[in-house]
Amino acid sequence: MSAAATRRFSDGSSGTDYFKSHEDLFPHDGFEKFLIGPISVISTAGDVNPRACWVRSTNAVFEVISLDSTEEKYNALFEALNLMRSMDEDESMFIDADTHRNACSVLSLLSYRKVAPPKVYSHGGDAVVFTWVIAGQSYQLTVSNGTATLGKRVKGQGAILLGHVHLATHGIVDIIPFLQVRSDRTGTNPTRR
Amino acid sequence: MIEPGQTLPAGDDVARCVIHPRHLHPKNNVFDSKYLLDVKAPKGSRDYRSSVAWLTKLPSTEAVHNYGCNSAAISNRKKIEAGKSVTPTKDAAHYIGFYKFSVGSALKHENAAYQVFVEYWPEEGQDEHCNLVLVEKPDLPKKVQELKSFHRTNIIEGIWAAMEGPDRYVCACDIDHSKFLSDLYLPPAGTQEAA
Repeated sequence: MSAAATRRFSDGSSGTDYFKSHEDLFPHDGFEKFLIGPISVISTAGDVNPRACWVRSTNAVFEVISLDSTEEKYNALFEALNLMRSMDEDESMFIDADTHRNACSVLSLLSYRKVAPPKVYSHGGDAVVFTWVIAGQSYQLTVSNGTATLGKRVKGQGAILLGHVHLATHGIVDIIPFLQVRSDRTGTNPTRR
Repeated sequence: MIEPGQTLPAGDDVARCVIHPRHLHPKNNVFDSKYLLDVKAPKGSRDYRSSVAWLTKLPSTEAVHNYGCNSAAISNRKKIEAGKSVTPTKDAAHYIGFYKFSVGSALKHENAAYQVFVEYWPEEGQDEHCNLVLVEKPDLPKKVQELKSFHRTNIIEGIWAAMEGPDRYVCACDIDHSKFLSDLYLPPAGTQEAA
């Protein structure tokens, strides 16, 4: 994808460079000029929501920055964990302090590794469950008692254990690849490995 | 004749009533529907419970709805007695419908860590009240002990997959908030939701 078109920058100069300065990356009078059509973005980014995204260039390398709801969903997930923690002990979905801390750690890593945002629920006060539906199969990552356990459910077969790790040993990194399937299903499906 | 504390037969059905806002967080769509089946362990106990209603004693849909409305009223009365706020559509309890499942569909999800059953447990003047109970099995091997929460997740997921519903309702006392309560989303039972 080429974006080497003549542009007029906010300081009045022009050229075929992508952007003049860091300031040009953010909304200003000329911001409209830098919006890129969604179809061209999809072709290079795969899993970016075409409804709201823009690209920037540094050193002639395009980097896609998604302004879709992924970040907002992760923020909402952290809020959900905080809500669970703030509940009275006898309320639905209350979680204890250790479970909250561990769930936040796991969620941070999921976000950092760009795993599609899960849904969440809790049970028993000491377990948070992150859930996904990927290619028609449901996955559950249960965080409890310093461990994370990934399972999946297959209709007619019940639950299948995919991995069980201790958070203190950073073993969670080993099971995240199971969940790194792109939302557009173009990524590697770990269940086929 | 089943006495309080005894278990329900596999062929009987039970209902899980949905109460707003206890079971609903409409401002935030990140919650998975399985939170509708929250199980809790009383302090010092390793047994997890979730309230359900025995449909043998509630033979019509209307009777289940009346039970649900009564449950919400009891919750509101207890909140008032505790000095808590009961502002309608905010922190007051509103019954909005129920899901049902057979006792047998729960029993079959017993696993290495938990025995599962439904016990008849009348409380708060509700003769139809029962508990879905997950009892930790004795002398669990260390490996199973570590996977207890995973096994609990599997029971919840399995029961959700076998549920039917929801059957929606707005109680007569909530008629002024009918639109708000009717608009609250209740997922079809058993569905797995992509985020």
